[in-house]
Amino acid sequence: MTRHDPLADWRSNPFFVLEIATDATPTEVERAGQRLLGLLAIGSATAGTYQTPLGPATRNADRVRQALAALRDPEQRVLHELWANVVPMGGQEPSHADTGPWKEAEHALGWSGLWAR
Amino acid sequence: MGAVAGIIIAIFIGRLLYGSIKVPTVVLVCAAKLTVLGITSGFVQATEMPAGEFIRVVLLVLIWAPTTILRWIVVPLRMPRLAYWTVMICWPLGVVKELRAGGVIFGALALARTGASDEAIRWLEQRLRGAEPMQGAAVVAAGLLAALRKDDDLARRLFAVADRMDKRLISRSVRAIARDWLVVDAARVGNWQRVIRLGRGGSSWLRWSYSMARIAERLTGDPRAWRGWQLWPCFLLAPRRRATYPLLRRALAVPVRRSAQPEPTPSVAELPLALGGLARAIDGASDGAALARAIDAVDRQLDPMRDAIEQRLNALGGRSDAGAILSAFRQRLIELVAPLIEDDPYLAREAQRSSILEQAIWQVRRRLFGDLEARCKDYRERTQDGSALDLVDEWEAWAMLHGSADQLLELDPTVESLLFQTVFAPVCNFAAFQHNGRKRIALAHDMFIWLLRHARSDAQARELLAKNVQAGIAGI
Repeated sequence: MTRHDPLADWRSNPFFVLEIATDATPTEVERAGQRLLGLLAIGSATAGTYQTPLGPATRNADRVRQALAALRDPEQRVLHELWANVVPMGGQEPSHADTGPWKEAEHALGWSGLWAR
Repeated sequence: MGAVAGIIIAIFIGRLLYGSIKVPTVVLVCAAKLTVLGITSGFVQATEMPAGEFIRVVLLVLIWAPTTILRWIVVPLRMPRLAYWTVMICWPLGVVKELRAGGVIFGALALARTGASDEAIRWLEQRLRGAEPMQGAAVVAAGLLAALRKDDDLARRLFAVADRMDKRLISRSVRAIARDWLVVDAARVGNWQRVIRLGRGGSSWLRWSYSMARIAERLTGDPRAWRGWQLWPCFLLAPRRRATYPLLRRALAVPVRRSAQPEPTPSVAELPLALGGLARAIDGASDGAALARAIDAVDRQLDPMRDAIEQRLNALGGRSDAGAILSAFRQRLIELVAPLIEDDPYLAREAQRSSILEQAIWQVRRRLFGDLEARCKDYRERTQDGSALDLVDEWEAWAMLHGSADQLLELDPTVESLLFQTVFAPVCNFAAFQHNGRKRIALAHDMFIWLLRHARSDAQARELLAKNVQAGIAGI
């Protein structure tokens, strides 16, 4: 089934978008935001994506501006700090058996590209 | 003697056309096929045509095994129009009651092998719009076209309707197409619990979904999981062995457990660890108990953080208090979990419910009831106005209502009586309008059967619905 990415909003946490630590000072926050806006304005390829503890995500100038606005508000900043402090998903113990999704399932029916990614 | 036989046959055909003798369509089609084969064979023999034997073999195969030709040659060669016309000309027995819809099914299956163009999808949609009657094959055809348009939600709901449909309205081979799509849909995201439910339940036993359910049981460590010596024959008897073999190997690598071993409650001491566990549970997505434990672990970490949050707020010059931040955090947690539960209500059923989970369930239940009420209002208004949509659109509208109601029942079976009271009058009246006013017997029959299944507590309603179901059976 093609459900929306349940972790998408979490990956859009302002600290992840700006790639800064949760104890960053307001000056560091503004500097990170302006740097990213500058890179996005000149079409930098690397600025369009970022890594989070929940996997990679993409950003644009609008998302960077939203992140900056969120972190200027003390209440919102504290809330986002709580959500941003997360142990990476890859930190779990490796499982011996692979019980995850069956990525080749579609080919069992002989179909290709039928489900939206 | 010949004259007497001729008179008997003429009387039989006359009564057949008049409607006083009912012969199953499949028998009639077999008789017609035999006649065509007899006439053409006789013609080939009488005219001593060159390559007569070859022509006879080709005719024999086309008349008696068109499904094999379609499945093994036309569909893999990605020829949707040829597939459609092959069905229309050769009358495969599995779709003989709904030839046009059957043609669209095989056309769509051929399109699914390659990137489907909008033009080809539109062509098939036009063929389906004019199809009459519309029963199970039309629902599966509409589902396949929705899947080709990448409208997975509609496809899922249409296939769910087809999977639970009365066997009078759908052939086994067509039901298998719907069920197989649902199994793949669940397996591709690792929702093995749904694969198990599809294989175990349902109105019809189908080899591949059954085999997949057994494999899924083993993958999930289900205490009922079969051992290797039981799994192998099941796998070998099912179709698609080459495609399924890697999954079987994955399943066989999982040891069999004869009792359910509950995962220990995570004893995480900090919020970041608990959030990491929650992210993994959400990403894993199909284990309701693990998700509930992860939510509980996060929730338990929040209140002890009240002082630290207060200090942090003061340092940043915030005006609100820690209580407001914690409340906002919990609200976000609910918003994170609610869509997962809506996607797979069984997640909530299998779990021990914490207050966060209860609130997420309440939110989903409210949305689903709202959706049902809106759809019932539409049915009520259209019954009053006597307005009906195109039959394909009506099946799609019914699939959406049916899907929301099923989601609600999966989430909380105790609401069955309330759900029935909400939908009974509008759906029953609308179905009666479709049956009497529009002669859409199959659609009305599916609605009556569904209502009857859920009319447990209302004896009067059961009686009325049972009569309506019988009327539908007589009309099919």
